[in-house]
Amino acid sequence: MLLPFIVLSGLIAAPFAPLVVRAAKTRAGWVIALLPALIVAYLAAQLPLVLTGQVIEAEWPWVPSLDLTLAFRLDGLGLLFALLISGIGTLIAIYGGSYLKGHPDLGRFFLYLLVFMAAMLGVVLSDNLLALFVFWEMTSISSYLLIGFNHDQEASRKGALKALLITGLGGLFMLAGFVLLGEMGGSYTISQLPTTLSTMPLYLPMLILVLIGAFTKSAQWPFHIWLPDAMQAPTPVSAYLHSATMVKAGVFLLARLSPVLADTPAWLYLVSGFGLITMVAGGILALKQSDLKAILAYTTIGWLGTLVMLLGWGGHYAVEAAMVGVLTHALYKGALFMLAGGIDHETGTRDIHLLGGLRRLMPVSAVLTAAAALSMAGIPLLLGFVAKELLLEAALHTGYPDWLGWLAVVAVVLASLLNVAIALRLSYGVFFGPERYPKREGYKLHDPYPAMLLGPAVLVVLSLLFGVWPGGLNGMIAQASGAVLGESLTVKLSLWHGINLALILSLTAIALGVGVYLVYGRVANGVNRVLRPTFNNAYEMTLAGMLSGAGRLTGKIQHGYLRYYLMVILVVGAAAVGQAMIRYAGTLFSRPDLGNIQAYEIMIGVLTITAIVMIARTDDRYTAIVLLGVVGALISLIFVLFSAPDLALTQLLIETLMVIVFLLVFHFLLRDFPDHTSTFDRKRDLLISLVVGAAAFGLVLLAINIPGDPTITDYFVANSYTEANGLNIVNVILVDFRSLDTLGEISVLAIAGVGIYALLRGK
Amino acid sequence: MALMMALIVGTLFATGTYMVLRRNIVKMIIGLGLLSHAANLLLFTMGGLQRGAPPLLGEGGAKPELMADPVPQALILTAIVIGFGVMAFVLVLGYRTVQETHADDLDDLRTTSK
Repeated sequence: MLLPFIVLSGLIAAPFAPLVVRAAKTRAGWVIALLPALIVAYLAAQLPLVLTGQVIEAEWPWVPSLDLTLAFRLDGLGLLFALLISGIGTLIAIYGGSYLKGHPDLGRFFLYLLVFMAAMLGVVLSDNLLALFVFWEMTSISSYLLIGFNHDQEASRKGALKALLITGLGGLFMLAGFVLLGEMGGSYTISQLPTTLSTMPLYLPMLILVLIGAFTKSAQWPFHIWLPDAMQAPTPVSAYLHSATMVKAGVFLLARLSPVLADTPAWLYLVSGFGLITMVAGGILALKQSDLKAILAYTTIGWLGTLVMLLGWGGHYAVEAAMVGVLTHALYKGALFMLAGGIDHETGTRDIHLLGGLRRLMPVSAVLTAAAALSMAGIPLLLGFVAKELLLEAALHTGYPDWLGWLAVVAVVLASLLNVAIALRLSYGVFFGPERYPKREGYKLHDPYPAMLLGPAVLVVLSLLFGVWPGGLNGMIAQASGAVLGESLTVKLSLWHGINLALILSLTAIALGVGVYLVYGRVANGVNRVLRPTFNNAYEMTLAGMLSGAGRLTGKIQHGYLRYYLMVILVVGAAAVGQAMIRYAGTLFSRPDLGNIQAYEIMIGVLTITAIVMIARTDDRYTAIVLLGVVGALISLIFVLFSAPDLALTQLLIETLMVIVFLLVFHFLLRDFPDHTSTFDRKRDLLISLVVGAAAFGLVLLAINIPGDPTITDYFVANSYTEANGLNIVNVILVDFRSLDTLGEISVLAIAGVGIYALLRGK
Repeated sequence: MALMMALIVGTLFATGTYMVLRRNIVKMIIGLGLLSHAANLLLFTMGGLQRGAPPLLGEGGAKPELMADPVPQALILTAIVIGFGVMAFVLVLGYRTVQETHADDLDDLRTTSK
């Protein structure tokens, strides 16, 4: 039952991060790193269990009425991702503490980072669709905060917003897909979803909605545009969120839902199609970049595309390749990002054209970068080689028809050779050749601090270890792949498969990649000429259009004229009553006592109506006041006639007071009583008024047909004397049964009095 | 009389609406007063009209089953008093507005700064 605590521990610890920073000062990174390190230890302790195919489950109810539970499930797939998240999280905390040393907002940085880590663990370990969505959105929000960490820079804010809008919007589509999925499957628990979903009529819409969520998060074409802009984040964030973990959430989702959604033509072509396009586009776009982080961002996009493509293909070749690919990429790309951050930190630039020959000044960085780049290029003895062999093997075993299958092989080889060329640019271009870097007075360039080299070193060593001994991953990959395929299988990874087609393709890609690197300058220019930032323009235009559109709409609706708001409210209210009048038209005049009226009552009624209408017609303010008083007096008379002596008394008193107040105020006001409005406005207002008046007339006739509930009245009549010793029931209600209401009423009067006093005294 | 009451309430609502839609502050305030009368009378009529049977107990009082309903009366009594408070406040507010801005046209009031 420790599992939920493990997942949520980051959330619990996050608020204390600023305190830790204050207390531990420059060692804060090491202290913060303890938490992810503990999580790694816990997960490692579960390894033996999980590797034998067991699953650890724990569940906390959250909102049972919505079928929302905090259900966690640790299987092979979840464990692989959770280990990456907490393991790289440990290294990033140490690295970040050194990278941002002395930054005034370091505490805030760690707070966000821990929240992100908890959210990410929640995503990969949740067994409930809705909880997964909540954690998913939490990663978007913490990513937003981390990209915008340097919020005083406009580019940071824009990049953060772009990432949030695109992934957030995708998340909403995904939520709709999840609801469909949960309703169709009869359960929101992922492990209980049936495998018959693909035969249901709503399968395709549901699949597309879920895919939009996964594609936006994992930066698939054409949603990839947010990821390069997210590089505005501090480098530890880029290394952690935008390379090793968060962007793989989409890949994870596809893997997690594969058992229930995959194995249909729609899945095969949609998922692998977008993945393939992204893979090629990412590689080509990476070529034309000159900023270290931008190059890494585009190659990340390309690799995410590869992973998505593999999951689209399905089958054990592709899924094994994807699982090894996730691990490989996290190891070498995390290292490269951290090393790029080190170079930036030391030289003050990330522009590849300004850098060269740094190997003598930064020897450790040079070695580590070279090793990570070799893994990226897929050179033997590094894990990247194993991953690429599996990738090529999978490309030879797609579910495509023949011609498309060969196209896929060509695309994979193309992407591989681009990776080789880019790996050469990153390592050879920066560390070899003539020495080049922006010189600063009195500063001797050196390797970054050990804290900043520890992370890349650990990752490179792991790349090398599993590159030499891929068999060490057999159990992990078998369990993870098994969870994706929904069956148990055994995996035998090895360094040497003999001379086969995959190896030949691999060697071809390496040779061609070196070739592309050599002629790379001309290639880049060509790429620049062909590619235009189409989707970025579309994003900018949509955003600008929405903002200005919202502005115009708000200007129209929220115009600030009270009377137009009133018109809308009154006309809508009249329409509501109007439709009831139409529905009950037959009963409107059905009451027999409707015509029961005395002669003097007719006189009073006619007088009242005349006085009211004259108020609107008079041009003299004194006449208006007097008429208002007359109306009040006549209403008192009506109260007298119809058995309401208390009302009559009160009304008469209040009306007298009112006339006095009115006269007092009017005496000091402007002399004339102009209407200010045009003839057209008056006619329009008259029409509205008549509509409202007609509705009120109908409302009275409708209302008197509805018998009231006598319970309350009977109670007051029966208990007025016995309980409160009063004969005047209305008085008893006011001062006894509902005396608290009367207290409220008096308070209103008191407040009005104070307000009036303040208004008259204030200057 | 219910029909007559319906006519009175309708007229009050129509005139009240017309007056609150005016640009002249004073006219708008008068409209507010008319609408408050309208609401009271609407409630009163809905409670049922009874001649000569006030809700009083004891010697000479009406029989409970014929008696006018005391509940709407209690509600209206409260409403009349609160209506007065609101009217008085709005009147003084209007008075101060005109005094400060020398404008009695609502459309001339566009900003809260001088």
